[in-house]
Amino acid sequence: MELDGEPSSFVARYRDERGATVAALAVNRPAAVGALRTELAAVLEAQPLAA
Amino acid sequence: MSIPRRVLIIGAGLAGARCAETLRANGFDGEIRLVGAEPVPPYERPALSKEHLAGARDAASLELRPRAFWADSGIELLLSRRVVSVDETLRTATTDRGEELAWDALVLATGAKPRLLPGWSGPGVHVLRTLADAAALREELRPDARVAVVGAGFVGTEVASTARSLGASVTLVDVAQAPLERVLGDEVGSLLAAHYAEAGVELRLGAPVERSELDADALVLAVGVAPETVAAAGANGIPTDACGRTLIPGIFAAGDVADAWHPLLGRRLRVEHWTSAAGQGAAVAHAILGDERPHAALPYFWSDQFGLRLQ
Repeated sequence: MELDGEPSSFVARYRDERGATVAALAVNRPAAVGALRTELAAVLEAQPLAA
Repeated sequence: MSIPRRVLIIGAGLAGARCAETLRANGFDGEIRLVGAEPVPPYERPALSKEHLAGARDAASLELRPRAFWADSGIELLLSRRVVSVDETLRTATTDRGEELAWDALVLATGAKPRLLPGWSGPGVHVLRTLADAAALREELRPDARVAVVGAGFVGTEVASTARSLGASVTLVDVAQAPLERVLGDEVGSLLAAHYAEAGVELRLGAPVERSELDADALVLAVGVAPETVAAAGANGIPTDACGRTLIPGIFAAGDVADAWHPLLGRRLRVEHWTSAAGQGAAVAHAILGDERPHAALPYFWSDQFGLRLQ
């Protein structure tokens, strides 16, 4: 996982073993949510997760 | 494919309501019946642990639609009832009032029920799922109250936040090492734990706690939910495809009860968040109308707690 920010306002990206972002969390960063959703959708559309 | 004439939706939460609305919005002119166990029309549950519990939003403001909407839309609300059995062959459902309801398409949107802990019951012990639950808990959240919240998931942490905002002293208990650890991981959980401690919450994490160890006026059990089903279901809810179709023709499922295939994630999962319930309810409506629109949006949640918005 990769954290960017400070304890009361940050973005966390959860990555798989290949380093691809598979989930994300925004804490007090509402403006970041749209871009995170786009980033996640692009990753998953390029390579859907295995069952 | 012929379009059903009678749609029976069991469960008057968000998924069921969204299904009914979407059917009408897309030209369906047959019968729609929406059966709900609670005595109130469909409402927003997320506020129950936050603004509503804090007294900042009343029950009427939580309703998904104005009261007249349902009748004006030709959606019959059958409230204060539970469906106790479904006959898949005769295509009927029977309520606890003995009513027999016929259907051509059946939507199971029955939601979930709070898990309980054996031996943890009695006066002062609460769960939070319904408006009635919130009203009962709200009575206990006085400024001098001692509140213990068992379970540091989303509901538990939001209740803890609201209780603190009302001046109660709060103990948050979980066997996990950090709040929200199972969902967000230990690193984020540790950051949140520090934030809660700064807000004055006593944290008792990382070990089981006996009820007798908790000296509290109110005890809130927030240890997760289990699917509420009236039909055969797997241990993790009712399996469906991405359009909400179950293995039984004419029967669909949506919302917290559905263990739905997600085309992007490549597996089934049961999601207990608002956006999934809304999207699945709409997908089922489209499937009933023969207009296949799989629910493929990425699961999304939000949580407001202790001055933080988690998304």
